[in-house]
Amino acid sequence: MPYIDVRNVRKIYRKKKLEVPVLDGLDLAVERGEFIALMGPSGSGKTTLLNLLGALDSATAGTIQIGDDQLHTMSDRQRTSWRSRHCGYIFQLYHLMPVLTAAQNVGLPLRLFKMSASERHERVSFALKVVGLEDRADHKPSQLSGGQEQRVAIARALVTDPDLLLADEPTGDLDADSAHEILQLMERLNKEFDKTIIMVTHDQKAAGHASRLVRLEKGKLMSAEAAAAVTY
Amino acid sequence: MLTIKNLGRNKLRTTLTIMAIALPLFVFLVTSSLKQSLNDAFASMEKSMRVATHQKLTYTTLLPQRMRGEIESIAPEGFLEGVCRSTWFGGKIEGSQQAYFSMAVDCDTFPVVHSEFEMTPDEIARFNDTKQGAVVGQEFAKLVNVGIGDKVTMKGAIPPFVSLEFEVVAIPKGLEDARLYFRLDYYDDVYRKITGDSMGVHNFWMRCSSPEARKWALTEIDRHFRNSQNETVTETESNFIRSFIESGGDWIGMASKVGLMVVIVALSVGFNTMSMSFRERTSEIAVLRALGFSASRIGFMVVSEGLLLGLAGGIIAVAPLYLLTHLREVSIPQFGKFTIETSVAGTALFVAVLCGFLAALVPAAMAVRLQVATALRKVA
Ligand SMILES: Nc1ncnc2c1ncn2[C@@H]1O[C@H](COP(=O)(O)OP(=O)(O)O)[C@@H](O)[C@H]1O
Ligand SMILES: [Mg+2]
Repeated sequence: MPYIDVRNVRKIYRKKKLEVPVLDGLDLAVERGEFIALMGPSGSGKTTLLNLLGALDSATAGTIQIGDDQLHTMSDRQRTSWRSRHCGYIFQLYHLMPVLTAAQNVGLPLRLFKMSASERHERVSFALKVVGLEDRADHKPSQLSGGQEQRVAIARALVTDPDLLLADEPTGDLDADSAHEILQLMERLNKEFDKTIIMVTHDQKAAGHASRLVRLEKGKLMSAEAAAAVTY
Repeated sequence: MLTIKNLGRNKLRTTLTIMAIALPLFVFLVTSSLKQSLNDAFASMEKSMRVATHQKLTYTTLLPQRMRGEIESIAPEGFLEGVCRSTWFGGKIEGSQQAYFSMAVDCDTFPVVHSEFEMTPDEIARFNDTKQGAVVGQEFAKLVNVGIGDKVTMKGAIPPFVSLEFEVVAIPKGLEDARLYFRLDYYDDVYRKITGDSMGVHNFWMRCSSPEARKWALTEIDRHFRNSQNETVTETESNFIRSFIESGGDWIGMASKVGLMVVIVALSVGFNTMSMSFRERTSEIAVLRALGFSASRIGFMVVSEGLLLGLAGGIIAVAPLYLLTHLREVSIPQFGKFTIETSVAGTALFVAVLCGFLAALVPAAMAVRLQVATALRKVA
């Protein structure tokens, strides 16, 4: 049984009477410790798939199992609670709280758990250290570069120690050097901290850091070989 | 913590929102307290044995001085302790625009009719002996900086706008306000010299000896003058003051109506700014939801922000006046004590918090119903 088991998932967005089918019978199996690069044309449904895996949205049909949990049977409430415990989400535009410092941003998810102030502090310091920003703990997001902001966002995703990290074009808004740093960091999180990672990217080089590449096209995933063939 | 930080983010808007709640409540607080204080004052006057006669149609039409004698002659023996004529002067001190409560009165009956001023026998004697004598309130003495024996010159506010020179002869214990009373016969002398006519009288104030005597005064004086050239209306002291105030427009009632309207307008302003500030933060709320914060937790956050704003507005509206009136006595000229009742202050505070709560309700509902995936997509 794979760690992530997605079977025959369909996702249809309804806009008034118009139906927009995005995922159409999609299957995906991911083992623990894999680092998947998810590619595909714009509008192919990559974000949609990531949202389903992160329990931010529910599928129209099909089953999604992650670890022991059946996401497709969960209520909105249960999905909210599942998110806080099992997965860390990294956005293209970082989405840090502008009023909070780096350390406070990183500590935000820990507010959902009962723990002592010292443990909280310890976890935040550790997460900031992993991303190499322990000396920027008291900076506001506006005082950080884009690459640093994304690293704070990664620390925030890490701080609850989830098994799964989901990243939606994490380097899409960064210059080449910062993007490279972020990708190295992701690779390290995968190898050193055993995080299972699914990362959406447009960048062929970014995909090179991953252990496997999957390609989304016409609502379905193409096989690795087929994907490799399409890859220029 | 996030709530407080968020309020600090846009300080101008937070301040405006707080003020939008505080200002109308302040108006509400002042008008309703004023109303209550006046009603209290009226209630205590209701028992007063003092009545006032004025011209039937207006408060400003002058009546002949001789009517005092007529009233005295028709009154049954012992009913009236004194009849005191009074004419409004409204004097201003040379070089100042401030008009003081100043009135020409009969010196013989003034101490009887206004026994609450508690003039001493000495003061009464000096007032009777000094034609240009003036009885002034403590506040007047303070403001104009005069003591017993000092001279004050004032210019009248009604025709013929004469200047009169007074000598302060009494600052009675029971007269605190910024008022000045002086002798009608002195005013009359000056008036005659200028116009050749005898001066008129605005009111006849009377102290009755019993409820029965008061009942007589309230009906029989007006009956006596009916169909004469000088028809009258005689009222109890409280009615007199009440209708005198209302003859200048029901400004307290208006102010509370305006206050109510302002409350509604301000509520919508506060409502708008708050929902604006939450709309701008939709993406942040979506991110919090994505991190695993529950809808109810975020709804609570939004509501507490509203409550906090409302509370701040309420405290700003209520605290200064409440503390002021409770730490030291504040009085309204002519009416006495002005207090902010704890119940009124509490109501205002409650209304403020309610405003904040109501204004937060819709944004909170929006936050709770937010579709996380859709909201995140909109900002990306
Ligand atoms: N809430 C929605 N309502 C209707 N259509 C949507 C909605 N969200 C996404 N779509 C459509 O679904 C398709 C896939 O979107 P998305 O998953 O964001 O693609 P990608 O991330 O691969 O660019 C797009 O055509 C998009 O317009
Ligand atoms: Mg996308």
